[in-house]
Amino acid sequence: MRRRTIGTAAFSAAALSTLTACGSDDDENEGSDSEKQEFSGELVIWADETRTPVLKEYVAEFEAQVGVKVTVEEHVETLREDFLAAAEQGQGPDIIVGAHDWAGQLAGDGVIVPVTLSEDRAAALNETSLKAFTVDGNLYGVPYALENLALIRNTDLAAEAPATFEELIAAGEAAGTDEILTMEVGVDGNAYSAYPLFSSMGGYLFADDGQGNLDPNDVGVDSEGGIAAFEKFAELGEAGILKTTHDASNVIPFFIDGKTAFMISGPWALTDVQGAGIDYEVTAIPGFEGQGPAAPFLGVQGFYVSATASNALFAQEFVTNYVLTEELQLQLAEAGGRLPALTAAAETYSEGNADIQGFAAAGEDAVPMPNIPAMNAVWEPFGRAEADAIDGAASGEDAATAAAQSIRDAIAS
Amino acid sequence: MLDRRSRTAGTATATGLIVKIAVLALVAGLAVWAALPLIGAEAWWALALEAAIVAIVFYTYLQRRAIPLKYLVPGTLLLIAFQILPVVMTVGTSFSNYGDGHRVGKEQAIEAIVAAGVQQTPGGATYLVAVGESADGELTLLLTDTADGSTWAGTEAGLNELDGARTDDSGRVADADGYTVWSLAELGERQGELAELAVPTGPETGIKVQGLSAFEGASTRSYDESCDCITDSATGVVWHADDQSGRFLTEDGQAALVGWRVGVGFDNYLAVLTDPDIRGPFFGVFVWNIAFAAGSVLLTFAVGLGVAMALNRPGMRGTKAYRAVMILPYAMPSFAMILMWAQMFNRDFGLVNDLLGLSVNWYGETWAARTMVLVANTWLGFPYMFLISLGALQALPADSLEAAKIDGATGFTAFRKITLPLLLVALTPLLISSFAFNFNNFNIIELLSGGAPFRSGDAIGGTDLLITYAFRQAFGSSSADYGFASAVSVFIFIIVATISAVMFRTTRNQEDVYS
Amino acid sequence: MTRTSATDRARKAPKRPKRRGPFARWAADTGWRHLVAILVVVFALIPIVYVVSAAFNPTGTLSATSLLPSGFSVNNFERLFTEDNIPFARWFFNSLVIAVPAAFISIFVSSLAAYAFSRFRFKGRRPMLLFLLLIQMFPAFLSVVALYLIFGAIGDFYPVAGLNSKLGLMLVYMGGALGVSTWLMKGFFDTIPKELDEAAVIDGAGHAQIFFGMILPLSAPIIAISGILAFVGTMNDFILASLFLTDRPEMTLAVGLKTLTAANSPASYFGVFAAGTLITSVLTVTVFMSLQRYIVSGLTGGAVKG
Repeated sequence: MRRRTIGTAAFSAAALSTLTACGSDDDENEGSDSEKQEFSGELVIWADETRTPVLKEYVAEFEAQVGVKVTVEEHVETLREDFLAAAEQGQGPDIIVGAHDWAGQLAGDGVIVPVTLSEDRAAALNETSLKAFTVDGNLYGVPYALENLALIRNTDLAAEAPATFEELIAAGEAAGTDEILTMEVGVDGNAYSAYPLFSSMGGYLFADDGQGNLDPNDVGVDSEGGIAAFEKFAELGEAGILKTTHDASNVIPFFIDGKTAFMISGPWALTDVQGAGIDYEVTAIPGFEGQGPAAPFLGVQGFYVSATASNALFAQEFVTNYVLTEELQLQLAEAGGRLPALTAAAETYSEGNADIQGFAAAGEDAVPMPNIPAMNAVWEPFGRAEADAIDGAASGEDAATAAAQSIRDAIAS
Repeated sequence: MLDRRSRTAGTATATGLIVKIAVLALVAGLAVWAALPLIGAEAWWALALEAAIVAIVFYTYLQRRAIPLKYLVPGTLLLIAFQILPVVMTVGTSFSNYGDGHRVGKEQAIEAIVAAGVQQTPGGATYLVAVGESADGELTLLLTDTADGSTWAGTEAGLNELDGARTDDSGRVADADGYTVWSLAELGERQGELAELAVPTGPETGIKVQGLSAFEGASTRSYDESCDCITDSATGVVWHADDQSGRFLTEDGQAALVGWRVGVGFDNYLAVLTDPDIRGPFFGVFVWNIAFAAGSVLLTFAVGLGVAMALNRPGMRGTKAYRAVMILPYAMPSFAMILMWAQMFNRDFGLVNDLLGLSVNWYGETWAARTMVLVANTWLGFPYMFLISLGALQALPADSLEAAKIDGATGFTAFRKITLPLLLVALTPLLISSFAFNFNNFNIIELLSGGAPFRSGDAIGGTDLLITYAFRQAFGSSSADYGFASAVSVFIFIIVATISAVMFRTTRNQEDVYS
Repeated sequence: MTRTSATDRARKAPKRPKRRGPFARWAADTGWRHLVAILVVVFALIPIVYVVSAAFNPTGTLSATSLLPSGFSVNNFERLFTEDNIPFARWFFNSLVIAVPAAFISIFVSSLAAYAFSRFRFKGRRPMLLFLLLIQMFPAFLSVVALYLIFGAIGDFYPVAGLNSKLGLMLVYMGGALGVSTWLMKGFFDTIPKELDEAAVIDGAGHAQIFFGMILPLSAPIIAISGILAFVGTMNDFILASLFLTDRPEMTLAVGLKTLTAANSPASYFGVFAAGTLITSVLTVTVFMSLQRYIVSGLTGGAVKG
């Protein structure tokens, strides 16, 4: 006998019962119908409107393999809220599919459970994407796709990819289009799309301890680089390159209509661009001359297991094994147009796929969007400061300082 | 009059009687149907409630004295279930700390914190899992080591090598001597039983099943009921439960990741009253809020009534087509149309500036933004006013209008002296209710202006209403705080209900709404 | 009898002083009516032209700078009925199945309550009326959380009316329209002369006969209008509907269409969305048109005279 058997007395931790505290209330027909071959329960997955159709096809094989019925339910725009409302009442799905920056909130609310990946499983995944799902040292979600912003260029209007932002402006002017660049700003600003330019000028949001742990008490919006970035926003706004009137409703249409040669957008824009039959190329967002690279935020999509899953066993099996096969990550990637989190699948997928290579190149320096709850305090003040600087309603420095102050106040309260 | 009614109530027609019997029979049938699952689940309180409701219904329709009840009971029941109950629950929430970090009960919070302490043993084995029962019914994990394919049987006593096991293609134990192996379906059905089974492999380590796999791991955290605390043996951290704030705290006040819901008394109300971000700008927002609500009602009512008057002429050509177009703004999904308006007010590319030759920054100037939300809200709201004005015009007694004509009152005088007052009798309550709706018109502000214009650092925008402002206070800054948001709702309700009640009383003194 | 009173008035109307010229007379009598109507029609149509433009735009995106589409195609309409991801016909059907019965029942229940409030004097009547008005004023942005809890509990016992069920959603809609409809109808019932009731009582009619046999038929205009209001409110709701119906083929029109405009849907879905919106509004307008004849009639006046 290779492993030692010990007495149970020394062993008290409830959490190590083989399956953590789920479904203990479904034991109604214990032993009575044990003949039954079909499992009467089902695995319920909640996803948003873009992922649901893909997942529906994708789960069929799991159904066949494990013999459990899988239902994918679609929650439009309010997936996270719906899940919280359901899970806190002990209802809701077994699995939800969502972005990594939900992890902090969901884990803090006790509605998702940590998952453990075996070493080889973990090693096969993109390292940053795993870090993105880590809260308090525990992995709370299993990643499957990565996305980040990139520069999308109409190659008929601008043949060469610009190496610096200044070159981009020059090429945009040379193209003779109405707009030089479309990048989502909107009346309230947009911290997500502003971040690459912000980081190029040396701005940071929260200090990083080098291990990916962020310090909510060290806000860098009004750091030297941060202020320089906001000054830059003011300058670009003054020059009419960034506009608060560029918003979600026109960024992509302007590009499709040939009103601009450049657009900063994500993989979601490609459906429309391809549909319009435009010749385009995806490249990295250029940084400012003499400054750092323009690092976008990395968004990771992944699977979370609900703490109130009534069918935890199959949910865990699905999340920790099934979604991590290369074949299936490829399927998901093809349907969604995003880079798979599984390195092997990512390599296969990006081979010969110029778009994906472009997004991957743009995402080389990408940092995961912070998943700490303090990030919620950043979006609004940062965006407004950006809009104010671009509109000339405040100087870059004033905007940055005011935003940093609001962020610190909100985190402290 | 009432007495006479009560007596005549007895002289029901045969049809009436049959209908009544049929309806009550249906209710009885429904009641039985509804009771079965409650009895099955032994939900006695729910059953008592159901019985009470059925009793009320039967009493109401079998008695002959309180006739109004017969007409009020159906509406009242619906109202209580789907309007009053949510309000009561919201008020209840306002006395708790319910919100992010405090969403679940204490038990679940403990579970979550303890579960976060489970760590895989570095270099420990991983297994494929099957479950079986030994001859004497003992639940056993039948494990296949993923490294070497060896098989093991795990029970409460620990892990023993398993001989005579046959594995399937995937490597899972399919069949083992002395065990009845569960099928996947059975495993799914009876997964609850696994929660009771702990398989130790060392003093602090055990087998942790995750899906159809398992790994060897250690749980470093445990909850001790006697001290109401959680101890992490790996780091030595001890969290003590703080039932006041619903969190587990260390000695130096660091909170564990998950907290739970507790009652906090009037704390949220005090927070509203003392919050400098709410108290400071309150008056300015309040005045604009009233102006917005009143302005919306006046504008929509003026346009709606104007159109209704204009089209209320028998024999006029094209009225049908006009009417159809008038209700189009109402027939379109409003969220989409607000997005359209947002487009049209775009400073650089929007239709409004384009058509009028302006370059107004509609989102950047306070008064421009206020004009914008009022225009869009008028567009959204006038068809409703048109419809109810049309209804009220139909109800005007023809006598008084004809009498007015005979008296020589025509045109605007007749409208002002006769038509409008008569209309207002019927419409005042609806106008007040429209005022209240617009007072809390969250969607138009949130979707169109988002409260803009803001200056960086401002907590409050030029078009913010109390409700959008409160909403952001509660959800926007860091994380959702339902307790606080509920307290704010209660305050807003008190404000708007008071205004409405006062308006209602004033108008009632002039016109006999209760006639 | 009621029809004649309307046509009577129509016949009487042209009899006006003959001194003014025909155009001046037309202007004073009908002309201003057309003017007002046309002004408001223009106001009503401007944003809708955008929708029409997007619906027929071949690229399907919203062309923000111009009212006119850059091309013409019915591609967006075709996609509504051919794409698997857009089961428009199902959405349409679901909306009707939910909205029609919900509107009917809610109007019926409201009319019962309105009758009680209009015709009977009982203890608590005024407070109840006021309460009915005030309860609508509670800020509803948290009620979704409460409804989730309520229907979660209902669904535990009766899956047929829980979350994920059309019946549950219908129940909420029935409750939601009560307040306004009741007040609207009470206002109308109040204008029906009490003499009619008294005459009926003398004829030996009970309260039920008065209500079903006399009040309801006389109130056709307001029933039609309340019905439209309740129907449209139900059709346009997506907050509650998206809470209840999450499976794509089970969605209502508003929720389904909203999926097409969601933040990360392709911009070209906008054209499909616009096309769907147009078809939806055709339905509402049709309902309205078909009820018009009930709305426009001078019923009560005729009845008193008759």
